[in-house]
Amino acid sequence: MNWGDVLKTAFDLGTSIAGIVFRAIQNGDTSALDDLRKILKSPEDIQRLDEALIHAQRRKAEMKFEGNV
Amino acid sequence: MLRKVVLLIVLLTASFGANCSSVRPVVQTVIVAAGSAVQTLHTRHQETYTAATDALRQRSASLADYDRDVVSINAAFRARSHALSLASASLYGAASILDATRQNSAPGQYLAAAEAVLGVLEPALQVLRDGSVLPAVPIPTDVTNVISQLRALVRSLGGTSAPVSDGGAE
Repeated sequence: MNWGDVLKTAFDLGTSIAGIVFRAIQNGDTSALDDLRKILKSPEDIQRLDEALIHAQRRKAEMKFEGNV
Repeated sequence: MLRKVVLLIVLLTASFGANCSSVRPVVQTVIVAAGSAVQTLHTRHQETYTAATDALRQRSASLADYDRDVVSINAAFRARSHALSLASASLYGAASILDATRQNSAPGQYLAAAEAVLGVLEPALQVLRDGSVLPAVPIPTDVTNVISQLRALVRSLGGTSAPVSDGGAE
């Protein structure tokens, strides 16, 4: 079975995996880390951004009760 | 649906038997798709917190009231944040394994990586679905689909995986 047969089978089955296989063929031999960095924040960034959101929301509350909102 | 995905991945794995290096791009694409799913969940998680704290601010009579009531909300938010950061870490770990085996396919390592991702992604979904303090984070169907693909991948690589549930998917 070659890539074409695999894709045909995937489409025949009507599964979303067909798209995955297609992208895999398109991507070729790319770096998984590079691909991941394009779309997913690091663990540290996730926690940093969440802490920043907590502080931003707290600041909005401060401004409301200081009469600035 | 899951049966079809499992069948196809079994077909894929069988078809790659003569050339195992072809398995890696498929594993990589599933891992990257899972990364996209986690990023979507992180966005929804932040939106849920913002809505909850905006509502709390509106109904609070003073900053002291806000500070008192936000404690439990922040604790739940941080628990979710921790779960998502673990999911991110497991995906970056899986990606590192994939990159380390670009010249030499390693199905056993792929299986360990996919199982590790599932092992933190599924508990993360449970934490996000817990609406006891913060409203449950809406789980997009794409996310549950990715988990189905990961489960199928684990099975096709020789691991075991329970049937997927899409409970709570939008």
